[in-house]
Amino acid sequence: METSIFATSLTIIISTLLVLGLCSVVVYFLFLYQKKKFRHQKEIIEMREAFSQVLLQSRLAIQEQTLDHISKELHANFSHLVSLININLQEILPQAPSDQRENILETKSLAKQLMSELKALSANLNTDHIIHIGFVKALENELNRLAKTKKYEIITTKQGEEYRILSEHEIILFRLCQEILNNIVKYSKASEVRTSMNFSKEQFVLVITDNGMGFNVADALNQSGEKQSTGLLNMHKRASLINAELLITSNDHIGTSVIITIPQPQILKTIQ
Amino acid sequence: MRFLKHEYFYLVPLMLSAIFCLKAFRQKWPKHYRLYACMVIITLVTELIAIEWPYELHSLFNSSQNNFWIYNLFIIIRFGLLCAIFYLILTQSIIKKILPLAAIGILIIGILDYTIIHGPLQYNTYSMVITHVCIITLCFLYFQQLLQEKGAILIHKEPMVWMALSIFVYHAVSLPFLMMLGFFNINDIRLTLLFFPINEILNFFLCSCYLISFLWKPQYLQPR
Repeated sequence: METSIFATSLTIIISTLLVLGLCSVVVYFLFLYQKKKFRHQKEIIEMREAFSQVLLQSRLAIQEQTLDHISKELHANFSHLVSLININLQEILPQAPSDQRENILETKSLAKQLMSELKALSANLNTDHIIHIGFVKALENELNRLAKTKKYEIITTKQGEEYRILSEHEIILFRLCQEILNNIVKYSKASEVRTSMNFSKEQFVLVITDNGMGFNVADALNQSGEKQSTGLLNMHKRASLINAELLITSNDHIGTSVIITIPQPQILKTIQ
Repeated sequence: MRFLKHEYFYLVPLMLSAIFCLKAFRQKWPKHYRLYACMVIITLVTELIAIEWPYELHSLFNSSQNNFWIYNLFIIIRFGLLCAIFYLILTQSIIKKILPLAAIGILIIGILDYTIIHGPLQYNTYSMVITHVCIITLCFLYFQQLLQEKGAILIHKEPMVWMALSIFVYHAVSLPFLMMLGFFNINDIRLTLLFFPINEILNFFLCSCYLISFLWKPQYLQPR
């Protein structure tokens, strides 16, 4: 009787262990397969992201080339034509009847103004020029252009020891700022634009604030597909290209603030 | 002091999981997670009543000390809940058609077993075996669905996977013994006692998996 109980107990324990082993194998393979599947999915997503990043970079490179080309055309061709207009007007002026002289002088002044605008625009579009003068100077030029319109009060502050970062990063940062300033001019109805730059080894922080009518950031991002407006998306993509954090906050009738933070910027040289 | 015995250790993870599962209601997780949380709470209540019944509770109702009626009833209720959970998570249309019919059939057998065949005070072997087999099958179907799904999830972070895993192991491993339990009860009680430590370990594993499952949040499939 005792032997039979022992044998039955042993059989039960062994069968239980066998089933347990079988279950463990099933569960192990389930986890293993799913882990592999997940890794594979992750790789595909990473590849897609890398591809879109390359696509974006090449798109921006083409855009830069185009802007560069336009800038050179403006400088070489258009400026030359405006100079010729100026020379012609100069020649016409002594022979012109006295009642038309004032008009010719006015046209000459307008041509000069056009010339200086063309030069400024050409400089802003020219990648080499931006690389040469640096991001800070280029941004200051852009802000000066805004100030010249006399529609905006421009306030700029700088903190920390100014430095230059990678030229590609400077270009992207500058284009990002152009987009922000362009949005201020187009939509904000602001009267004041404040920029502050904070240079430190740990991070570079640029804040551009306006006192305009503001907008709903979440709505604007959601509606960017419907309105086929890619401005905000482009800004985020540009920021991600230089590993920058872009934070846009806006309040109705108070204004908008854009904060660009580049953590651990690759500093090339400091500017005294 | 009664609860400090090793056979009640499983109550610790069970109680913790009953506390953690409340977040399924608070955070409004999908319906099947809330049903799962209900099942965990019902399990805890059942265990506490079943443990307390032979000592004091039975005297309040002038009833026998036998607590089999609680476990037998729990088998039927838990099966109903598990069927509802699997009905919500399994996507194959054929399973969705068959499962309610099969569940109703098995529930009828369970009620008959509880009331007429074995009665509430005897171990309901028939309903136990049928529900165990059905639950193991449903777990297999869920695992199959996980493997065939186009998207991928981190399965060790998915509450439903931990639930299916625990009940699959518990039911599959205890099935051979439970099938023979009625027979052992009649022939040699020593063989029945052999099951208790195995059941303790399985119960602890089951409740630990419940607890782990509620430490995670529901996952959503990553599109391919």
